[in-house]
Amino acid sequence: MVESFLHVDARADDAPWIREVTLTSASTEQARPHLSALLPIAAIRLNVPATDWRDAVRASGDALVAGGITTPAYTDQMIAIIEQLGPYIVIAPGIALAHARPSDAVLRPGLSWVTLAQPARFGHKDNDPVTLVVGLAAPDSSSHVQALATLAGLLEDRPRRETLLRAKTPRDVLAAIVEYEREYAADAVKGMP
Amino acid sequence: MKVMNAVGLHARPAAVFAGEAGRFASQIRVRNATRNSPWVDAKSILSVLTLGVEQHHEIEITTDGPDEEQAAAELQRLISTDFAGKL
Repeated sequence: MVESFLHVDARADDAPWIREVTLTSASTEQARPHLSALLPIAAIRLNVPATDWRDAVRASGDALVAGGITTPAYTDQMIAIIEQLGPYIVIAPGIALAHARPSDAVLRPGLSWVTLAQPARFGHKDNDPVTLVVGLAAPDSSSHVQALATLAGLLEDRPRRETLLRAKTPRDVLAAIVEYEREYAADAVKGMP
Repeated sequence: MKVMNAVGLHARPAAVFAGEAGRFASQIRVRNATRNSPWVDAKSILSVLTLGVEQHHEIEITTDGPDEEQAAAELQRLISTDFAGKL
């Protein structure tokens, strides 16, 4: 058994915005943002036709714009990241997490939720084809990481994920997420000493 | 490319980290020590993402299996070198 402690660190001269990051991370022990607060109903779209991964990511960006979360420039940034770095955004079987770095194109932290009428191939060797594209936008790195953590917790819960993927209306998607949050909060209370 | 690592284990670094962990036969678990999080499977991107590792957070890794020494060394190197240009 080998154990090691690592420290994730950065040099300030590599990242001029480090001051902002450090300030926001002072409040990291606060509760994670509720997913339902991050996902406006206007940013949920079901059974969207998409012919390829670009179409699918564009639909996810359009949903972010519709939800008042980003400007259209963010959609181009999400596509550029995939062109540059490949399909790593397909983080689990059937699930792509479209995102770009924090930028001026982000108006507020938020998510979009787009299911595809036909599964789309992103070129990922294990997790293709994709049926759900979650768009993620955050104005700074700290809230980006925390929104991701909350979302990952939801998607990791397989029965919950399947319920979500079967949802017929945006309202059903939100209802399932709210229920998850309620159970999560109840578990947290139970787990307290 | 060091810039993305400077902000912690968000999507891209988590994918690289889990991918690297997946190359080893050993069981590899990771937790966010700063948050006192539970241990999770280091080979799952989703699990690594749930840890919410931000810049300056301390993460703890445990490896158990036939290549545990090598796995621990490689993962430590990956993070301490800002992902060795893999981002």
